Amino acid sequence: MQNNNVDLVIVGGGLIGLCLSCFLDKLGLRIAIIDKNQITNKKVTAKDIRTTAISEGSKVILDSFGLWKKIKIKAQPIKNIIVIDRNKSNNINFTNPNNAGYLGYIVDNKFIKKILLNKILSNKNILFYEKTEIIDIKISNNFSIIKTNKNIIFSKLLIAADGKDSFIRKIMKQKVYSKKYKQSAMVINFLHSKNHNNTAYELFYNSGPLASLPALKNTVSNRSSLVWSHNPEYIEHLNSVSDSFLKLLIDEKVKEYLGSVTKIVSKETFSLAAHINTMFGNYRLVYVGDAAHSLHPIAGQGWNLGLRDINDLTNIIKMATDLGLDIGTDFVYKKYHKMRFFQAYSLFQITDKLNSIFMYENSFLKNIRNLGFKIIDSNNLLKSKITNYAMGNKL
Amino acid sequence: MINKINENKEFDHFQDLANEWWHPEGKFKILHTITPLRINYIKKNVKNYQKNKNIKNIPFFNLDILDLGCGGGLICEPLCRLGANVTGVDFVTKNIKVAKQHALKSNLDIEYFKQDLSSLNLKKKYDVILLLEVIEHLDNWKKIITRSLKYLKPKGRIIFSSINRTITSKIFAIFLTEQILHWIPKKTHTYNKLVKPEELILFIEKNKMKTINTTGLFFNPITREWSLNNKKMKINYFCTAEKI
Repeated sequence: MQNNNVDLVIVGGGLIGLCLSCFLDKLGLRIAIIDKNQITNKKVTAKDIRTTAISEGSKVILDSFGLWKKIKIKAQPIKNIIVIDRNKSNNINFTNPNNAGYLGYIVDNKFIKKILLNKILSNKNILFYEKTEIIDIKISNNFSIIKTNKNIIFSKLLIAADGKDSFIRKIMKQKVYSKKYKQSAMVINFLHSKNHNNTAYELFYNSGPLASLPALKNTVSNRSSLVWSHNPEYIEHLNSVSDSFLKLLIDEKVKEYLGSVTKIVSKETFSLAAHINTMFGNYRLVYVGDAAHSLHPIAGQGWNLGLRDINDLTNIIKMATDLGLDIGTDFVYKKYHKMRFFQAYSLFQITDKLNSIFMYENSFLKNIRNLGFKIIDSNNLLKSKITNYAMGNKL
Repeated sequence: MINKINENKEFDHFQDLANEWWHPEGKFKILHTITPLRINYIKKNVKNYQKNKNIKNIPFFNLDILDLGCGGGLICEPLCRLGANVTGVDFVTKNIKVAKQHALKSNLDIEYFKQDLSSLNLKKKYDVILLLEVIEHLDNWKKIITRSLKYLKPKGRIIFSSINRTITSKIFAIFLTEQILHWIPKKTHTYNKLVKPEELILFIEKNKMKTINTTGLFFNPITREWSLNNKKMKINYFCTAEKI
């Protein structure tokens, strides 16, 4: 039992779970990370084609834990975000109000993972249980008791970082508010002929938004990734057509910005849903990242919100250990819920409403949108407020 | 004789409650809520005196602390995690049993003794002595403080927390919290036993002690948060004194 007695257990070795264990590094806590996959296996990691949009605010957080200087090497900066409604004259060009800065960065997930794993595997205070599945969880007065297919772990605090379909949330019967969209999304990594000029494009259609994010140029080619939201049947079709036909479809949408598509590198589909837990924590248990909330990807804020969760959680845990307190008690989970819930809930609602505003094809909403675009584009103060919000800075 | 009966009453009261100590939503919930503030107060008032340099996260490294009236060990455990060598003493056998069992589960090395404070008998002297929420339960607090001070090292510090004897405390600390809000069990406090901070200070300063700090513990009913506030001492207060 002694061996499996730790201060905290993080379930989920995704970016949020791994980042959290790096953040907690200096507190001298004994940490166990549990993941059902073999995440240290390079072949498994190489399959991950996803990229993460890191906002300027998230960069500041990563920098404060000494991680940004390593991630920066392979980060594609975003200088502009151009938002375009159906009709091209309706557009807003967002740039960082501080001229020198960027709006955010696009980084390959597998690269971030590599950096985090290097740091974690060299830390003797962190136990790593891969290919380990959770069977059951019991919360007692003194411990979160985690039963896996390999062992039983006693922990002061259990942190659920196991994603939007969180298994822990199911075992613990944690209630959620949820929204299902009649939308799916496809992520396509592709090469194209024209330089993307460090610009992200967000194009709105009544079928759903389409975002093109600039990726770091490899030796010869311009790279971008597309997040295309549409109704599920359409996405299913997209997934089954040949690459040459898919190229034509993408050309139609983005040719004037990125030139023609020269190669489809990879594609992946997923259905869109959003949720938020009614509680972000209970006795000896907290939820972070997508296990606590998942957002419509329209604003690319999901991961950044998760990073702010774990930044605040790290600060609260530090306050508790500075006072010698048991980190599983209300001092931690109540403060955490109080600090995080409202912010996540507002973003949950904002992204949802934003999606509906752009989906409906009625003349009233259309006029409102046109007016909105004009007001925002001509008002620099408003524009910089929105930009700051999107960058994850406080208003 | 009367004294004996009163003491037995206190004994029975706490004996019945012993199992509740570590239930976060149980009868001692209020103590769990104010634990962070109590530790914070102790940290602030022990720090200046401490000669050892802070070793990273172990601010109380090697400091000998005696917690008199330790109950279930709610304060002993955090102090031990902060590096102190902690001794807890309580006159209720069941409390000591609960405290020992819990320390084992928390994997903490704390010394617990069942002793009557009026006949306190210990082998060593301490850097810090705590009498937290204790003197208001005693029939002869002066006698017990005098006895406790024998175990304080020169320049060592004693820290008290207690309830003031004022109209405000009678209304809030006894009537409201026990009878109406049920924050603490009924009959926990008796008004006449409460000690005013000025009485406490007057007494300890006669016993070769120098007052270092007094602070109030204040509950804001609107934000529902507790805070330390040196101007609000009408209900709960802390007091630190140093042996000359």
